[in-house]
Amino acid sequence: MTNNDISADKQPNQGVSRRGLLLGAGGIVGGGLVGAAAGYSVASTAATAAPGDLQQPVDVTPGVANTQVTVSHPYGTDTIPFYGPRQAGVDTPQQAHGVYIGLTLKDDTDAERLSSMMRLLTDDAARLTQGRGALADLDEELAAAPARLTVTFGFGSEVFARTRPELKPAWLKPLPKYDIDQLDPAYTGGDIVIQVQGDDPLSVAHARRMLLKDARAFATVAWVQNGFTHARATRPDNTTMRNLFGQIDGTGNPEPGSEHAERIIWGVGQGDGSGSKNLQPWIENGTSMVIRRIAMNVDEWDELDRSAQEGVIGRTLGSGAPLTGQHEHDEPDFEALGPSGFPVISDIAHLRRARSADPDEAMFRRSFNYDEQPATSGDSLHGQTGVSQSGLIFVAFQCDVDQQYTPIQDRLAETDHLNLWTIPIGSAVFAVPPGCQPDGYIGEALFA
Amino acid sequence: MNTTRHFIITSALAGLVLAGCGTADSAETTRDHAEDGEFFSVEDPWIKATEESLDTSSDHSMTGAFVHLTNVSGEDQTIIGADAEIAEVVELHEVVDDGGVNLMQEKEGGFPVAADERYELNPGQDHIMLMDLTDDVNPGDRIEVTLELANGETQVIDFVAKEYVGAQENYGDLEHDHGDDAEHDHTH
Repeated sequence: MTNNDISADKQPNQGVSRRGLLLGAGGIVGGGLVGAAAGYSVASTAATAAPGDLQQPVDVTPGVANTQVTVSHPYGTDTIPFYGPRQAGVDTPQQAHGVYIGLTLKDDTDAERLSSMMRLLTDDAARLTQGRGALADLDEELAAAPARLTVTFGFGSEVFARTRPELKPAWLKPLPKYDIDQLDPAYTGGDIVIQVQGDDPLSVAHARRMLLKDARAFATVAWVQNGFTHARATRPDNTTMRNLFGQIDGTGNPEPGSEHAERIIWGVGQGDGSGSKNLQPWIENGTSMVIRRIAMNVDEWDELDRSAQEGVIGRTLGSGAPLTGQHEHDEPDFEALGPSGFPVISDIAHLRRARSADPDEAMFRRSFNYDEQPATSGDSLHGQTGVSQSGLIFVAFQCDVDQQYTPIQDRLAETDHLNLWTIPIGSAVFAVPPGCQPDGYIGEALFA
Repeated sequence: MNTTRHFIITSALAGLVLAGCGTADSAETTRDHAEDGEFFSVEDPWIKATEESLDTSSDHSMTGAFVHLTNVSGEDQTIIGADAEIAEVVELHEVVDDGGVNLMQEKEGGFPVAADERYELNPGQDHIMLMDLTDDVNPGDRIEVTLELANGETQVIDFVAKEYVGAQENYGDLEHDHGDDAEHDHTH
């Protein structure tokens, strides 16, 4: 199994070509993608992305039954390491599919049973993410193409209450009640979250089932949220995801591995030193995870013309550049005035309202779109027009919810033009424990 | 069940038989997950939990344990028996095809494992049978089973309990299809 994509993906514009070079050097793949490194254009992409470059057929054996399954290399075979000081699926490259499962612990799941559950689930995740069937997996062929599968666990208050309450971070509680919220219990709360992400919906579905098979003795399913971005091969790796309003969503994210990201997500280091918060991780290599289900009224959004849509967010739809810039990552100029003397980026634009002068007041977003069966027109929730039921599974990781997330959410809840077309309908907060080594399991510190 | 210790597979383990999978050596792909022991390196040890969250007709009085062993002792070994605190009776079983009916029975001579060879205990194949259990086996429990070798030595293996329900819930159709008599309930 290769897992060269992690290093490659940290260099957004070189991910694809670098992969080609690496594989080419190893003699696995011919020169196909090497050419793309020379000049990235539609023509050269079309010429070099011939079938086979991303899908060299390889035979793998996913488990004990000794069956051979033919999958594609590298996009099928790519793996992200499971074991390590931090859990995968937080700041590792984002995949095409994400499933979020909220669990409610059964009453008789005490600390000892909880520990048993986490051992089982850790073992499942460790195997499945590396392209191997789970232990006693009857359908191990479904695990054959891990396609960057990751499984990430988060704990709610109840886990701490049943194990080591003194370790519970102060921010681990429901977010403040916001006027904009219309929270549905079907997407709110939960004692444990399992985040399953991958580029192959088949291996994601299998992981979900295997994990839930092993969880069912200990917990019941509180909610499930299925999300997606773009398929991996359709856009360059590390392309910022696009939501169903057509907006590029997540531009402001700290670059994984950067000093800023280390501080924002993991509470490590001082960033550039200009932040004002006292950020302390609840546990070394732990972080927090906020999941908000945001219903988006795409049908009323249609009523706006493009320039109005861009004004609401403060960015152009095409490139995601701020209205005062040319490129996605250009710094917005909040002082710039338009011809009529009004700010180019309006006072209530999402971009302006979300922005903080304090670099510590930030989060790492890792969101997925959802697109469900349309509900009956006239349903009380926004976005349910009989045509669409779409939205965003907004997922944010940060060291400290109270200090980093809530101030931003407060501002957006108070005033954000985008609120006219969006409604938060689900909300949950979890503490993400560190990763583990092969002789350990996720969450082990809570059972020490 | 007859006096020669042949076992008609009952509901508890029928699923394991249905799950039967190939015996071919897959050591190459999975050996790196193995844990070394004195005589055998041990890979994927698990035992079927008797306590299940689904409403099944599982038999709480017995269960099966499975593992992939590789003989790392440098000489041929034979596993002639096994012992576990949680069971009054532990036997080494094989599954044989008796005229279309899978029968579990104690394996004559135990499990021979030549030096450097791999030996798989899988559902539907050779396995360790634990009977007259003295305790529940809950999912996630770790159950110690001691392998007894012909040379008088032993090796202890830690088996993790997994829920494994197979297709035992309803055999009405199979029963009908096979036209078996009552004694052959739940067999396949």
